[in-house]
Amino acid sequence: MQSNYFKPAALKGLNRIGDVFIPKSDDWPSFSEFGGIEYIDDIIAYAPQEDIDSLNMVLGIFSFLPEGLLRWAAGQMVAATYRDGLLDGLLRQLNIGLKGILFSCYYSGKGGHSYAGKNPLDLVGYNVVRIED
Amino acid sequence: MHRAQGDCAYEKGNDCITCLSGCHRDSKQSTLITYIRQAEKLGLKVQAETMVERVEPLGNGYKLYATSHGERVEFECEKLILAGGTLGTNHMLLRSGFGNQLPALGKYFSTHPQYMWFGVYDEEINAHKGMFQSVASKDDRFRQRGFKLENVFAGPVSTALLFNGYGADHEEFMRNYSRITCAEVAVRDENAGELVVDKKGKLIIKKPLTDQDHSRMKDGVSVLKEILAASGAKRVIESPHFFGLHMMGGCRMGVDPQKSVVNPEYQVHGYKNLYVGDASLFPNAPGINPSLTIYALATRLSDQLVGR
Repeated sequence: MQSNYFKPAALKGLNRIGDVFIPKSDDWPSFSEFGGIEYIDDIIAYAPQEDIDSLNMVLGIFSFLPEGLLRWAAGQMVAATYRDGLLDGLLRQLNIGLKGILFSCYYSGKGGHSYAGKNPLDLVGYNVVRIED
Repeated sequence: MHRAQGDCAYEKGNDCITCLSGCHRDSKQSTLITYIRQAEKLGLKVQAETMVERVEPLGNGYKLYATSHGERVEFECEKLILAGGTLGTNHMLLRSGFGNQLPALGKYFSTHPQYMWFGVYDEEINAHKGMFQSVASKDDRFRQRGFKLENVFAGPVSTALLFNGYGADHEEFMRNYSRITCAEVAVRDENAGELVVDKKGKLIIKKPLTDQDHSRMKDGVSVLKEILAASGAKRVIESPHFFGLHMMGGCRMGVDPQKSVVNPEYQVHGYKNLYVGDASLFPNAPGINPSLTIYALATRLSDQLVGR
């Protein structure tokens, strides 16, 4: 897939960190398997350019980090919530920023064009009725 | 619980959880379907997706420098009302250098800090179904103690975001989505925050929590945990992601130009025909949702400007 905002390496990095946050389990699809990343441009269109540039850099690094280091990084992001060290403010921003993108892709209801499994919205029991008139 | 709503069609089975990101029925009485529609009938022209970056005095009026769809655009006017929301209005004035003449600009900022808690139950709750909020506490003792409690819920994206776990913990939490309720403690905070701009003109929010803010939060959380446990929650989960929901202050109203930015007639001190008409003029945090107060202040300002 292609994006108007993210480089290919950043998209690869997003899928890799996405699978750490949302791994596959039984009928529960992993982040990359569901494929909601295909709609990433809809989500990111109104983000400030500076934030998009920063994300491209961080996600680019995630594209080649060894699996173990990637898991360690995710753990540090989550743990930073309860700490107040030198880098913890940045880690907290990254935690919220990344999860915002990941969960928006995953729980959008829109999977990738080749995905045929269960929709995460159905798996969590989110069924909303919209009465139009 | 009646909110600012038209017809939410609950009796027909409509679910209002999506109200958080906009009402598809136009039942939610936001400014987009109330004041702005009325004003458009009277000639208002909305310049959408246009970001004002700088405001300058020009003769008897003002000049605005903006970006619209990637193009530089400029506007000139005699009277200017800033209503960009607290962050937007303060950002415009700070970036334009008004802070040199207005020492209180950006100061006395408050946010009503919010602390979210989840209760996980054995039975299905389906908090995302039906009315978005159906019950509110009017217990004066909570307000006297500086907090309020509010039942609130969100769609899967926001609910997942508020939970701090990942991997298997995330999956377990979200598989229980239909068995979860959520409520928050909203603190009436002290206005110790400050908005500033950095060298690049980017807005920086400084929001320290005072001892009183912490005390009120702990007080509210202890009540909320009691309520969740008493209602049968088998597990109570704290969201570690605290946030401010109502941005207020920075252009506080007052009579002293050293301690305020706008006078009681909404005019920026020392700047004729420059007004502020949003929550940035709040002197302190009211401790309740501020939208109705903003509407009332804006209505008074508009009445004043047209001489009613």
